[in-house]
Amino acid sequence: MKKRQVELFQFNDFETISQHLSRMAEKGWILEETGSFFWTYRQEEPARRHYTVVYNRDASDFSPGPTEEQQTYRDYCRAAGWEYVCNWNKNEIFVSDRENPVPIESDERVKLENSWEGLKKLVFRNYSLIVVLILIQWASFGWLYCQSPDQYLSNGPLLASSVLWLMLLIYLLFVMVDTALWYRSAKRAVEAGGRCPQGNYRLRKMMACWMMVCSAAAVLFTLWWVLKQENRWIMLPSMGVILLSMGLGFLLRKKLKRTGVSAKRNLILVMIFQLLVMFAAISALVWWGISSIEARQEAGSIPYTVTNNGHTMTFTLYRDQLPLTLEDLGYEVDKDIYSYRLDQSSSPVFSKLEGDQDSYASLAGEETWDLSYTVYRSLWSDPLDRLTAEWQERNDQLEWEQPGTTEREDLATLWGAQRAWSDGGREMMIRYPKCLLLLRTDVQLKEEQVEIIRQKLNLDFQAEE
Amino acid sequence: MAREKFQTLTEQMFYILLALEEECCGVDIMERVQQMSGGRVQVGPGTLYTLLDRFLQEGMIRQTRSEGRKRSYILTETGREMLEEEVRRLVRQLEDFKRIYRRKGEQER
Repeated sequence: MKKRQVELFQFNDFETISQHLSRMAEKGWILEETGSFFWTYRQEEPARRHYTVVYNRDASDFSPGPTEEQQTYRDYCRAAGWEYVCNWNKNEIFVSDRENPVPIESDERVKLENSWEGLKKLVFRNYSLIVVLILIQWASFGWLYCQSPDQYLSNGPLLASSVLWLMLLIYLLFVMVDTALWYRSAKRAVEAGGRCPQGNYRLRKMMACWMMVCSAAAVLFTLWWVLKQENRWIMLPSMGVILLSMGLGFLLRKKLKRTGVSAKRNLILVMIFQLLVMFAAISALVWWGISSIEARQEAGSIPYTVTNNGHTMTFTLYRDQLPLTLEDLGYEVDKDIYSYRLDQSSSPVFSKLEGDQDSYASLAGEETWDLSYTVYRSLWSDPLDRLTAEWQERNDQLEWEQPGTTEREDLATLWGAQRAWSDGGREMMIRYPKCLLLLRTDVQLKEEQVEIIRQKLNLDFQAEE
Repeated sequence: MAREKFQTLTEQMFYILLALEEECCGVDIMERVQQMSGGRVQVGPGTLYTLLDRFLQEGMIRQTRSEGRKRSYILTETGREMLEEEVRRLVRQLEDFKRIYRRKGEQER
């Protein structure tokens, strides 16, 4: 009988891993194989066994078999009563049935130097690189937030990944600080003739658990968000591509190991293969997605042709269900010449709703009215301030064709809002504490129409408070 | 170079070098050290492997024979100097100890 168990150890938890494996053996569970998270145990008669974990720079998950040096190392260990079990990244695990075996690493100074050699590479070289990448990623998130807060904040997966990157950054910094502190205390202890200390395993395990919970929460949230989206039939396979690439990469790594390909070549080939699989799968999905979206839009829309000065133009009329229409405001319109288009995106902290009721008949000289609105809702005011400033800046640059934006107290009073601005033309910006309305229309709104808009778009100032 | 890296030798380094005064196969060094120290010092296989590698790099020992994975080593002149330097250091320590305790004993009398 076999069982797989989640094990959350850190690279330098040598003593803790050894003690844990000995305890498992006493319960009748013998370690067979290690993995990134899951370790496999097989059931045997409970026995007292000693385990030990040592760093070996030649050990690798990609290696087809032990190198000459590793074999020599194992010969030495065998002569001292230690049998090789398996490797865990750059660490090798040995077991001994002897009552009091000579420790594999009997000199604490040499043991510390060996461990430090591995830790320097893994923690201070590899993790530092990941930290730099996370900081670059966060800088790009910051840039996106400043440029387009609505696009950034209403994108659930992007927000989830931001939080996840932040958690990973905290975790990596914790590991780096913890390792540096461990090394300092180990060095002091060894110089004083003592043994390398174990480190705070409980805290390390707690941090690793926290990281796992955060990752699971981010994945579940992204899944939940994607399932709510209209384009989930494209997004879900995109998420599957990552799993597919990881799964195929794992299989290829095993296959190359069996065929005796060197560790370095195996690593490079697996990375190239995974990149190619992701590139091919995502290209196919994008192509399929675009053609599917076009097909769906064509299926749910009507072509509309306008002739102006002898030129014929064809537009698409959409038939989405808008929360507010010109008809709601009391206007009688010919629905056949209007397009009703709705776009929505939201996350737990921000939402954006865009509604457009346009008529292309105006291009043919017919007198029509248009109505266009965007409602932003945010948990905090900064994104709304940025959107307002961006709108003002954009309109003020068009001063040569309109007077520019001005704050209008009368509009704010009419809308029961905190503040209001007008561009002097057909656009206005209405600001509530946690909500912002950008309205674009040709019609001169009366008090009762404003009331209808507030109700239909849920802009009630009192309710907002 | 070797002197910079191994300013002082640990007990296990000392005995490994001492064991290589005569040509010896890597695996057998563990047993020889145990015999030489009357069972007091035991060298672990990992420590032995690492130290042999470092001693080789520093030119303190050299490989004499290689039969498959079975390799034999012997101390070099550099290694012997290091060993003798360590002995002199230990003797100085012992002499210091004796001198101080002798003086203390005389004062007490």
